Amino acid sequence: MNRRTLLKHAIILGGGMVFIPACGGKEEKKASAWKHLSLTAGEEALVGEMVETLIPATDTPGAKALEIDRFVLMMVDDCYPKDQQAGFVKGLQQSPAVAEKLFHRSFDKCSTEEKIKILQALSTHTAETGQFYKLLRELTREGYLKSKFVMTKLLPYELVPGRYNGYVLLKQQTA
Amino acid sequence: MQNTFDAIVIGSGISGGWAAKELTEKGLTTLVLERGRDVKHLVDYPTTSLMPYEFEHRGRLTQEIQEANPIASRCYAFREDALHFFVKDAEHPYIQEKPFDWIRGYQVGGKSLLWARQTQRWSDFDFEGPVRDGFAVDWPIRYADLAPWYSHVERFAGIAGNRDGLDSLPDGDFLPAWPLNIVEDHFKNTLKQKFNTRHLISARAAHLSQPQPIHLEQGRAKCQNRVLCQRGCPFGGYFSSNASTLPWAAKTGKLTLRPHSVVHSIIYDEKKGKATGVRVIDTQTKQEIVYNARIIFVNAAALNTNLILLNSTSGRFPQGLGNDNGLLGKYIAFHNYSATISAEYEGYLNYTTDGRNPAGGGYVPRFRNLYKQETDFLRGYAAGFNAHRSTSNPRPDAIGEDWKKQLLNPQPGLWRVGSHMMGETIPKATNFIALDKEQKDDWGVPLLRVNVAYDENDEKMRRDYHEQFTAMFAAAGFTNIKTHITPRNPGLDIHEMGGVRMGHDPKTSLLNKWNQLHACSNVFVTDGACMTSTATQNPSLTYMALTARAANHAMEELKKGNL
Repeated sequence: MNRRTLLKHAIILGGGMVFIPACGGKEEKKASAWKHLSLTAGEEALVGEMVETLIPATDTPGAKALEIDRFVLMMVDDCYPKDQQAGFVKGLQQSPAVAEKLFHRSFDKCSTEEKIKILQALSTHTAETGQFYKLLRELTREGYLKSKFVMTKLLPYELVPGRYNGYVLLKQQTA
Repeated sequence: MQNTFDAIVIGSGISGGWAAKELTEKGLTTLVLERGRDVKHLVDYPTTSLMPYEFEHRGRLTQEIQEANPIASRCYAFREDALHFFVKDAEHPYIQEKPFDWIRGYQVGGKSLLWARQTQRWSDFDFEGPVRDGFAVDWPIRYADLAPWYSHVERFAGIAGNRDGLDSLPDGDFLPAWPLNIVEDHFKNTLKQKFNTRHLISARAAHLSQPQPIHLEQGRAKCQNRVLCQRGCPFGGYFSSNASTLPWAAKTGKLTLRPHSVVHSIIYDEKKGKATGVRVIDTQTKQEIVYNARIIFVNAAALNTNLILLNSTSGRFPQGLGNDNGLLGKYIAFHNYSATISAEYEGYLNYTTDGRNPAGGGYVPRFRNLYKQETDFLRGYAAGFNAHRSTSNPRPDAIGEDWKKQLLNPQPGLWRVGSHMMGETIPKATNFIALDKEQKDDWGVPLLRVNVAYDENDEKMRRDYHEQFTAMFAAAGFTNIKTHITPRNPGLDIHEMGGVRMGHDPKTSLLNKWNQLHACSNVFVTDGACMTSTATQNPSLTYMALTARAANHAMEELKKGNL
């Protein structure tokens, strides 16, 4: 949550309004306070399942534990124009149908292999699921590689290299 | 605060910083006026030590910021880590009669915090350009006039480079160059063997590759290859006003630095026949204050220097200070950066690089129309060139453990090579800026109207750059060669120049060979506004040298009682 969102909340609270979940009639319509995206808690959870499928926990944490799902949604919310946000949300909302069609269950009930097949099918299912999946994958990659965990523990980023060598002989690669 | 000084310097960027250093060292009490806020070296670099993951959007701009700042957002350095050093579009409006991306840094240090740090000397091929090729007016100086001042500023600023022995790009007083990598050297050797008048050199850049005592005395240390310069450098590894000239000037005890000070105009005294001071608006109190001095250096950055002079009207100068011939604001020129070329190289796959090169790679000095006119366009272009080892892309359909493994074990891909053109543009009367007759900014200063555009010469030059570099790339064995036109408005090169050009003749120029207004000799203009032509070199080093030379002349004239 960025400062502006916090500020908005502070203003709402400070103004003496009663702070109730913005669910209206439908069940838990807004899970998080995004500025532009309107998602249900279920849809957010699905994004969590999907990023974990893309980058699962192994002997190191997966995308879910690193909160890459939050990163993906935050980036879509903050850094993309309205039409891309809309395409992302539509594609996300059409995704459960792909799981149902292929395996007759919800995404979270599928096996890892099935989940992978579903994600692969998103590319071509509809224009929106294709757009959604492309952005999801791109942002998952960016969020993962630029996470504190990866940048400090797995592929350490050097803030201060202190050197430049233009002729580094590579060691013979082990395939 | 006192109101009378020996000298006033308007602007604290790369040339204003030099004016401050030179004038205070000569013992003159000097007031430096900066329209923006203060940025103290080390203290005011809020992002300098942040890791990439500490930026909420990992360096990217939010949609909201992009939409609010279409102009600034087109600048490569306007990113999450350096946003705070750029003028936001809505803060300081101007009028684009033709599209012009005016990139500005309103703070102490100005754009010297953000510059690309490329520093090449001009040669007489450049100073003699206008007179040889029949455009603009003859420069009133030649390389020999500026050479000692180039050395003077290079030694203090710290410029890394090789002594390449090229007559198109004179050697300077250099620190050791940053090395080229194996593929850059391959391209260099290709040019040497197959294009004997074309050269690739290690880019000369204002980085302390091996600090000398004069740099340590400034409190600066060796460049640490962070290549995060736009955030401000905690080592003072690259040259900026903030790290170098301004603290040096402050140490003399003669410097008064006044941020939040917009200069409305320069005050001309008709009886004395010279300028007596400047009218300043304090941006915080909106109070108007007059400061007086014996000499005034105008270093507000090219277009704002024009604006201040245009707005400095008096009975003697109804069209702006020193503007007897009506040429003030005209003959604005810039650099043509509108083309790039990219390719791959399948050789040297057993080599890579390690660390980061702050100079960025190689530089191809101008070779076109150098010794004689050989094309159907005037002048020529320099070019950047660099090579880097790419990372091979994991299969686009990889998912799961497989993909994770690939992401965590990046394998080197092909070498990627790229170049961007830096073309000279021809100053023309039709490329001009003027003051709007009605609209004013928050300080009562008229808004600037900008009329600057490319012309046919620029398009021909761009085609030639693509043709020549395609041939040079092919000769080097590069593959998948792709030429790109990068549609960009003038201004985005951030090398706008002219409007107050130097020349021999008061009828056709504004400044004499010492950067003094012909018609008001105690006013000096030594930033980009003074440029008679643009050459192909990155201009900052030349502004620094012109400033130091002019400051020296000012002191001599003061001593003689001529000012």
